[in-house]
Amino acid sequence: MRKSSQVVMGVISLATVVTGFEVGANAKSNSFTAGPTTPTDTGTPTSNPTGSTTHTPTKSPTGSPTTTKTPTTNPTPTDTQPPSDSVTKTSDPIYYRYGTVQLSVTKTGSQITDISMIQAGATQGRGGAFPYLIQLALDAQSGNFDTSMMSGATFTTDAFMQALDSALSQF
Amino acid sequence: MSQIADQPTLRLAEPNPRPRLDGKNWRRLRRNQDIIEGIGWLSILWVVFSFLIDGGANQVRDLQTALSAIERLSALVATDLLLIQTLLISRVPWLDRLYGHDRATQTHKKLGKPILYLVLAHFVAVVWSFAILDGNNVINEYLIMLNTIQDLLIASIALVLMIVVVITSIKISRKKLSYEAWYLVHLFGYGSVMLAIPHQINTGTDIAGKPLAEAFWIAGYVFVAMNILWFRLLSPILFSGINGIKVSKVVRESSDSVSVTVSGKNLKSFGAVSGQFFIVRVITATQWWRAHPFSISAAPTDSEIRFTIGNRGDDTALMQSIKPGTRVILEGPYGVFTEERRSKADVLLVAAGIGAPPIRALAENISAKPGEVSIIYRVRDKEDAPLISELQEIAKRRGFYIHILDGNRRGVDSWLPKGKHDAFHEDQALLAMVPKVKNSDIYVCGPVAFTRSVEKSLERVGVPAQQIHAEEFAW
Repeated sequence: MRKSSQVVMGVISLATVVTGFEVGANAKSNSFTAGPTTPTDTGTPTSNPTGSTTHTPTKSPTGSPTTTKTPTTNPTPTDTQPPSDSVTKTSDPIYYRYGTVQLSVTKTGSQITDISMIQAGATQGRGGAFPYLIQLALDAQSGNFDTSMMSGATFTTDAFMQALDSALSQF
Repeated sequence: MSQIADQPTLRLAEPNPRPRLDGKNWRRLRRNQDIIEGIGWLSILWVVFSFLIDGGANQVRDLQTALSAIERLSALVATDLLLIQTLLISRVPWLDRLYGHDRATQTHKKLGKPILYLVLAHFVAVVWSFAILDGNNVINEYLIMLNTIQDLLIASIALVLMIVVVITSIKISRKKLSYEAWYLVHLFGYGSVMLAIPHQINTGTDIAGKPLAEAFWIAGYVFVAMNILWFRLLSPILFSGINGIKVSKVVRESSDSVSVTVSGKNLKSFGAVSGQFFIVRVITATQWWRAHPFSISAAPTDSEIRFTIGNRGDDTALMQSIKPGTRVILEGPYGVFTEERRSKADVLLVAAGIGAPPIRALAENISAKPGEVSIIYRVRDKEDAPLISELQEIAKRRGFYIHILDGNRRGVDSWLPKGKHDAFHEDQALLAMVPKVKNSDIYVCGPVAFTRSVEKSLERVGVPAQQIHAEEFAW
């Protein structure tokens, strides 16, 4: 390459790398490949209401210090016990490329009142997707909801949806 | 000279039209090279950029996340380079015309090991990072990954194949392996590239589920595959088959060389010019699967292309006794050892031994007025040198200077023979034979040591590098 072309390519390269890095730093809230901004205030179910299964996830999903989606605190639920007519079903374990996803769904009447992760296997920060997915499913009251915002966690989302379908099909 | 009398019937092609000598061709060539190199570089920049905007670099917080970033980035860059690597050796005409086969091959050789290191880095980093995540040791983790992650087994086979290809291609192994054995093993390279595709598309962090990235990589693979399939396989077979290309004449040139003329229809549509070579595949029961590069030794016509082939053992020995009527498949033409690269009115053509064929072809129809072209032909024995009488006849008819330098080498590093030039340094001899050399284009073809020695003399007397044209058969 001629000197002038090298200089031009060098400038373009530098600009691209800097831009990419900056965009990456700002975009990480949308991308579950980056963990630190995983939300802690989105109505994440932090309790395990049924008390029936208290497996902790076999894989630590995120490596992210701020993630609070694992049911670490409440193996013996008391005050959050759902009404006695609620029914809880557990999904089949869904094996996928980043681990295993298994969840339980609690219904009170026809209302989905809770979804808990039993196994939440994910790597590289994708575990941060589960709280979102749970909230979206609760809002939608079904497995049909828009997952387009879940960019960067396609496989995790797919596995979650399969597990949710598996649990719902048992009602 | 008795041989000259043997050539009164030699028919010469019309000289080429005068090429542009104002440097415009040269600038256009450099511009086109820059465009191609720029596109290659931008493709790497693009994959790095897509990694960065996905937060790839920002996610790094500890060893595991750092390994994960390394794993992704090394895979992206290695795959991109691997596509470039495959294209470099594919001899597609649009690359060959810019760089020539030798430069493309040299770059291909240089890229081999770095790509392997990147792929190894990817492998180690991904297993290690998953192992940390799961609190496993790396070997157990790898076994678990083999069972749980789609397509990982064949990707692992791809890695093994790549290691084999690189190991058999390093210098020490190349010396121990026959060309044919090395060639067969090197074909695994295609297998390696292809076996790695499923795990990239199905599970690649930066590809799977990302439509833009998927489109980019699939387009890249399809582009490279189409280029290879068409230019290396389909086009040569179809073209040579349709036009019925066969060996029509075999003439002994010297004790260890033979001229093989192939005939067919529409040969002009190859677009071959003097100085180029074809990859020739002889369709016989034993030879069909391996092809060899042979230089054109006369200006090509619409019905005939002539090659002159030295006997260097192996398959070139078989060529010495090839039967007329044998079908051949021609792949090419290749090479930039042509008048298109010329930038000066004066030209020096330098050949040694079996390097004579392209020089003979160039001399036949180069655009020149009498006195503009000098020929230096270095031979061990002028009674037994390929194409010597034809070169002398061409020089006589077209008014070119010709210097036949015969005899044993003066020394390992000398392009001069022992004997009448002993009083002169190589550079002095060069200036004495070709006073205008500094302002000439020089075309050199011969064994590597000879070519290097001539190039050194040319550099020492001050010939700019861009006026020196040498093409090596880099295999």
